[in-house]
Amino acid sequence: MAEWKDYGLVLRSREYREADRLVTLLTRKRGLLTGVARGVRKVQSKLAARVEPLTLGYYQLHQGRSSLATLLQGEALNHHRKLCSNPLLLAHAQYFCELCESSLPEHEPAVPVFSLLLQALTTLEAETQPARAARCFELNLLSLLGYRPVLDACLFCRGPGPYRFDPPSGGLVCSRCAASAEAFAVSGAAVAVMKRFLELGFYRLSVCRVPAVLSGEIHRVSRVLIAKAVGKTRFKSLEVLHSLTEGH
Amino acid sequence: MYPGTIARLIEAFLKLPGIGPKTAARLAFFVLKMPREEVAGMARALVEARDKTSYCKLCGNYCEGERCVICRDVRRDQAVVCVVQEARDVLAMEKTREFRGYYHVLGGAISPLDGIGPEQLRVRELLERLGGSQVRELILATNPNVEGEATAHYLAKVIKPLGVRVTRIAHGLPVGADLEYADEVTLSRALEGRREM
Ligand SMILES: [Zn+2]
Ligand SMILES: [Zn+2]
Repeated sequence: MAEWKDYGLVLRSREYREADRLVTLLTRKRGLLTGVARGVRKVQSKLAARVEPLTLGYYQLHQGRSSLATLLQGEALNHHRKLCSNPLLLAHAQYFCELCESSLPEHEPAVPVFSLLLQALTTLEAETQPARAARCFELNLLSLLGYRPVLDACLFCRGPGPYRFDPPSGGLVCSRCAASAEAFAVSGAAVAVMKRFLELGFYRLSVCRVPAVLSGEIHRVSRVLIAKAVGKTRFKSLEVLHSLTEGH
Repeated sequence: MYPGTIARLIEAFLKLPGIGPKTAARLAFFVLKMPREEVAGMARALVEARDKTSYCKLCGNYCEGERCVICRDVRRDQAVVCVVQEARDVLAMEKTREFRGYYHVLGGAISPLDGIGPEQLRVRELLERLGGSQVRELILATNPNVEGEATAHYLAKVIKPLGVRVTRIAHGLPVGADLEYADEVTLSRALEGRREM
């Protein structure tokens, strides 16, 4: 089992040693792993183009005794090139990658997350409102990580809305029940969109109307849950993403 | 393991990119065998370069003083500016002896994962420089990778409205390479960038 072949998506690629790259891959069979791609910063390297960020490839890998795998060969299947033609789309795509990298354990199969990320990138390539895809990705990733919010009733009394979102308990609380001081109101429209995201995923996302205000409301909820699931709230790609949206 | 001074030297070499513990130790022991004057010269060169080198106020290239040698050269073509990521790319372009315009060094490329957006690059300086200048063509020579491509697309979008012609360097096969050994990505880009003969 020292050598195996696997589908993988390049989440991150950084310079390593003289001419190598350290490539963080989300693979189908073995989940998140980091591998060395040797010599790929030399002009003649055939592997170089195949370990670019956001590349979906079929790779031949070797795992020795060290925690680092070695990428021996690869074939690029999809580069998601459209994502590089627009920095805002790139920032969204890399935010998705950063979320996966920060939330998954290494060397543990994560096939559903792998599929979700691929769907998200494909959707993003044709997306006119990347924020919508981001909210959909966040909620579905949270669900796969075991942090799916309960959206059809009050967390405490199972009663109907209007609701507030209660950060400590990570769920919706009705106006009759007592929530924490940090609780904030969530509109019925936002709850409906979140449900839709979780039920249908990226299926026909382009017909789902999510105005900026609604996306903001949902993000407030997803941010709380991401902090619980991942243990952090600051993501570099998210900061760049925000700086790009503020400028326009 | 080693006496304090040697250990400190090894640690100093370890700070350099691409140097691992083994190489650092090898370099340190090499230095110990070098003539004293050579070592002193090397140490002076390091400190002097660090002290006297700054960035050109206009283009961002390395320089001594306010303006780099290239920006000071009035014989170059004012109408063309070539945008590169790093100052070392200026040297690479100069080696071609093909380009006679001026440069603009961005200081990196858009890379959201590293927290680098347009604001972290010398984009504002570029726009200021183009405003009211004689520049007619901007050549984008950022790297042919995800970050370089995204940066090129971004610059094209913000600069075209200024009425400046924006071009991108071609991507293709390395000269002297065999077609059959090229990877599918490079080959498809080369095909895309084909031109009439
Ligand atoms: Zn209740
Ligand atoms: Zn200069």
